[in-house]
Amino acid sequence: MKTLRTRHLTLLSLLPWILTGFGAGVLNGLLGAAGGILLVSVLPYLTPPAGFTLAPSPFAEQRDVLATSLCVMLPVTLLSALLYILQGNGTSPQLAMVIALPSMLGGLGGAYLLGRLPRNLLRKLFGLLVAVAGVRMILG
Amino acid sequence: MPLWITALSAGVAGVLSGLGIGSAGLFVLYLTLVLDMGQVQAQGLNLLFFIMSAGASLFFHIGKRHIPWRVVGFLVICALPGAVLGTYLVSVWDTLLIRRLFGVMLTVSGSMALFRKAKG
Repeated sequence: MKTLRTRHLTLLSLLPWILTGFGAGVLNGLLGAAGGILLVSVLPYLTPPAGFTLAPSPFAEQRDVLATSLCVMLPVTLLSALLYILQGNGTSPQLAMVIALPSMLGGLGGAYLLGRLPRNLLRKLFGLLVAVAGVRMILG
Repeated sequence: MPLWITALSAGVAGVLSGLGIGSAGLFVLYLTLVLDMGQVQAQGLNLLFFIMSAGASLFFHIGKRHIPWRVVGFLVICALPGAVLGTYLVSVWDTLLIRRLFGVMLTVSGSMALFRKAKG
């Protein structure tokens, strides 16, 4: 019979989760991005405290991590977007309308294609492009 | 720049987002470098972009993926104060500093994508 490995649910055991969540929120608000990147990078290595799950890890595979990250960042991004607008950093309604439908269709298309495209190759190409652009932004 | 190119860019970035490759940096780059939009305004538009693209892609994920909802709820509670702090810092920090931090983020995430081994 499978037994639960019990650990007292302490603040210490929750601290990595708290810091990860908080950090993702800060990145999301400060940079408008990257909160999900932090979650996807860190979550698979976090040990779940007792009471969250029976499994060794809540995440069976990387796609679960991605899906979880999306679920977390969506409400957080809603709050960040609202605060940006209230601060006067929102964008023109016209531009928002221009990107609305393509964004949604693109998101649907990408999720559909997940597993059907050479994702690793795309990731490396994207990584190269973004890293070079990032260096340029730092120096520029 | 014709609006259809902006729409196409959003679509491409959306596909990358749905693939889990991470398109946020790419779209902000387009907005700042091609449309000459301010860094913070571009980030604001990027937030809207993410809401739409990620919200749509969740249709495919929910029901097919194991999503630990208690973990999601806990992380959201932890992230919301962080988002408040982050957006406050945007309002008080210099735009050039934010742009450079964004560049650091791009460099790190791009390098991670470049050198990370393939996963399932």
